[in-house]
Amino acid sequence: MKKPGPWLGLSLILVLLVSGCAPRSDLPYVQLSNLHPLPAAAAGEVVPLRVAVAAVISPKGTAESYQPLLGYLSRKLDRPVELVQRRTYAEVNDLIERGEVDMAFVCTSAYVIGRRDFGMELLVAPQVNGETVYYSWLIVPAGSSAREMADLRGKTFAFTDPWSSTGRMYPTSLVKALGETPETFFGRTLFTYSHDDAIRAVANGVADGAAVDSLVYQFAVAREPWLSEQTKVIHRSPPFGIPPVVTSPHLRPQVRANLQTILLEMANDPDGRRALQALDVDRFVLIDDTAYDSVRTLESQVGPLVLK
Amino acid sequence: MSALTDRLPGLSPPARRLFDRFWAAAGAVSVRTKILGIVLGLVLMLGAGVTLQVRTTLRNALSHELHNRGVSITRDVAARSVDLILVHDLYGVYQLLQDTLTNNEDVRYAFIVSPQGEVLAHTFGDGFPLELVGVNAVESAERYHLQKIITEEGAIWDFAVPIFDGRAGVARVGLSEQAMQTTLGNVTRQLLITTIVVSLVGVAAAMFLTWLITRPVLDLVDVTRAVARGDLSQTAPHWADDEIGLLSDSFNAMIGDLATARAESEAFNAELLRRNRELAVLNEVAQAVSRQQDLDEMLDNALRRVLDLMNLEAGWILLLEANGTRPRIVCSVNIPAEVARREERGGFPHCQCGKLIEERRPLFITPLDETCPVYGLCLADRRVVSGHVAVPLISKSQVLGTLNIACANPKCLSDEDLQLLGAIGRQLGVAVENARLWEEVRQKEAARGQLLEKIITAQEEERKRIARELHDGASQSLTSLMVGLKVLEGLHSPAEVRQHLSNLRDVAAETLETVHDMALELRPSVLDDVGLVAALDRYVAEYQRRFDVRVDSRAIGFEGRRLPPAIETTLYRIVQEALTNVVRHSGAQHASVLLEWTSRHVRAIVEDNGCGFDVSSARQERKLGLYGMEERATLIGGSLRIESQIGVGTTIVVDVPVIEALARGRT
Repeated sequence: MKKPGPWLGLSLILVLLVSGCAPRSDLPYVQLSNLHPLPAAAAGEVVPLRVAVAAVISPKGTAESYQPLLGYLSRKLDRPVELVQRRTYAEVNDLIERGEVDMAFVCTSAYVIGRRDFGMELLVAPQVNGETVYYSWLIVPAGSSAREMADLRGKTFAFTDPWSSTGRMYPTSLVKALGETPETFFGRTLFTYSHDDAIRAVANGVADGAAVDSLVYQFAVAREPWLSEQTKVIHRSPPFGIPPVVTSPHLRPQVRANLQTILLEMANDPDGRRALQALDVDRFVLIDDTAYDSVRTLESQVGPLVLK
Repeated sequence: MSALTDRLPGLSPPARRLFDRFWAAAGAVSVRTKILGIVLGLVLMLGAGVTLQVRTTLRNALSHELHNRGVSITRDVAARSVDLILVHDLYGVYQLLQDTLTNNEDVRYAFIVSPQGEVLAHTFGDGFPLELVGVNAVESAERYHLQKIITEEGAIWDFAVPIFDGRAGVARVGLSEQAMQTTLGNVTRQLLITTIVVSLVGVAAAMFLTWLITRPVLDLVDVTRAVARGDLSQTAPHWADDEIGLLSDSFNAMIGDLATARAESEAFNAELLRRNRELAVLNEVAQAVSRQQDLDEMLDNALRRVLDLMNLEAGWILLLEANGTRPRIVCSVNIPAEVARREERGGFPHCQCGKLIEERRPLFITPLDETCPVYGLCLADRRVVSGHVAVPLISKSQVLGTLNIACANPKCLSDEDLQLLGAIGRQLGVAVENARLWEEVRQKEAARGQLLEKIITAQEEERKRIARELHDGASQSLTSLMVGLKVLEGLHSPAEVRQHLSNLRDVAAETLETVHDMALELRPSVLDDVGLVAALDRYVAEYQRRFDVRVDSRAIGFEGRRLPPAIETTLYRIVQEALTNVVRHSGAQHASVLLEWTSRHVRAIVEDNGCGFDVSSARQERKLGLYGMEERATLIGGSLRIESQIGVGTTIVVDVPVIEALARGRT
């Protein structure tokens, strides 16, 4: 009869070798089942200045573009500045209305609505290329045969934000001028909630056409040249008032005045100029509410803008 | 140090000791176990090696894949959550994390930490393991950072990827090793099962192999044991034309050689034993016969030795005496006296075994016929004699007697035994002959002593007679002469003197004749003067004158030549003695004397027509006359033969070879 001893030993060695249960005592141990409610965010000692930026461009692009400005403001105000972004113009308007943001870069139509609904206050307006106006540009893929809105019948069209004057209201007015509604005229519509995403949608062929903020298009093409190669502008709108910088009606007047001064003086400060350059803005200037009447006219053509 | 390691040069002593220890254990088990061990060991080692290798490789590959996947997923989460975080779409972030968790099996958890360290969204549901936040951190410049952690659910790879260069926080995704471990375990299990299956197949193959190898070897061992027991009839089966087949063949050849050698050895031993027994028997018999003892006693002794050594029961020895005419039972063992007497009185040589006298070789007579004295004889334990071996006792090609063996079993004696008995018979024959010669010599010695005594006595008698003759004859005559001379002295007359002188002369003449006769009788000088033939003629003439017996005397071949004086004297005296015996004992009226000188011998024959006598009894009685004649004949190199028949007469023949006779004459 065979002695089991050596084989038993060999088997044990084998099992030990293949089991791979080497101890890892040096690794941190976490009890995953040990769950606790998350602590409430600690209120900071210093209340930051909260600045909202409407999603004209993508949040990431916004954050990158506005970071120098916010940093500049923080240094000038000697208090932290917090960037607040929301997906839609309506959400930003809500925050402004409730005073949860102090200052906001909003789009033209959002200002028109905010002004009308809860007294959103104009602070300054950016001057770009010496102007305080901007346009809505109708863009199609570079290889598209469309030459005007009428050529986009039955196609896929990308809107930016439901409230956007350049991204939604102006193209809607063009469709209406053709005696149609966007729902009947276009084969399909989609919302990108930002202008640069609309440009990318056209550039990538996801959409057959889109109407975008001329400032954003120029800004985006400057930063990503391939977008200009993949897209072409087939139509330009009449000028609209440039998207302003507004403040919440709840903001203290001293802070508002202080902010206005800083913004208006930025162009005279090298530091401020660098921040302005990041935004492709010449300077901030004072602007009158009448500058936005053209938008109000557009609104009357396509129907009233409502919250939510 | 084992013999195996002696063949492995260049081993260091520790390795050698280790190997010896291994070999002490491995070498003690059977070939089957060795092959089984080798196969199992190889399969297990191969299985273990392959399993280890595959496991290691697979672990590396799976780890690499898990690592890549973790980085990919986390970076995806980070990229896709940037905008959501920036626009504070926490539900969108939650949704993203939840989707990530759902769509990736390995993902155990995912969460987003804000730059301020707050957990913005996570997949733990109600509550959050707070210590998890601090175990992994990533610099904003890093692509990702991996930290393995241990949880109650096993090892988890925690990936941290900065969102928007850390400005929007950090995405954390935990990937469980469990799937990897499960895969590893499954693969390992499969490999181990394969190894076990292969092991089983290997064991079966090894058992078959060992059966193939050990079966013929075990058969060989069986045959070896049979051979060791002395059974050379078995052969190892030839299984196949391989090394073991060769071994079987050579082993069978060896068994064959062994069997042949054993047969030869046994035959040699049997031969040796037989020879040894023969020698022992012959030696015993030789010892028995070499002792100076009585012939009968010696033969009895020899018979008992032979029976004893040859495991025989009954036997007897018979000698032929009186010139082969009278059988005599000398000794017997386990033979009743009446049987022996029957044999003596008319059995041998007229029975079946009588023909051995002509054939001169041992005869095995079976079945016996009724004339055989031992027919129907019962031996000890009631066995009846069925056979009878008769062995001639031979000396000088003459059968002197027989050695007889009676046995119940017809096969009690082999041909070799018969040969041995033949040798014993010759030995005993020589011994009998020697004993007889010895007896004869002894008798002759005794007779010679008596003769000497008689010669001396005869001399004395002769001297007395001569003295008496001288005293009575010559002395008386000389005395009367002395007296006559004295008388003559007193005479004065010349006539008286003359007369007286004449008387004296007569007396002197008579005295002279008396002395002359005496001298003649003492020594026949006529033999010297005239030769044997003339002397015998005168003696025969005188003999016939004195006794009343007529004697014819003839001589042939003596003309003109003479024998040497000693031969003549001896022949003269023998004839004189023979004639004296004729006149003293035979009562014969006629006798003849014949002298014959041929080219070969000189012969004297004296015959009479007297009463005759028994020669052997006369010899035994040591009649000095006969013995003296034989002695005289022997002294001159001749021989004397006496033939006598009672009532018919006696013939005495003396033969002297001529060469012998002339040689003696020259000396």
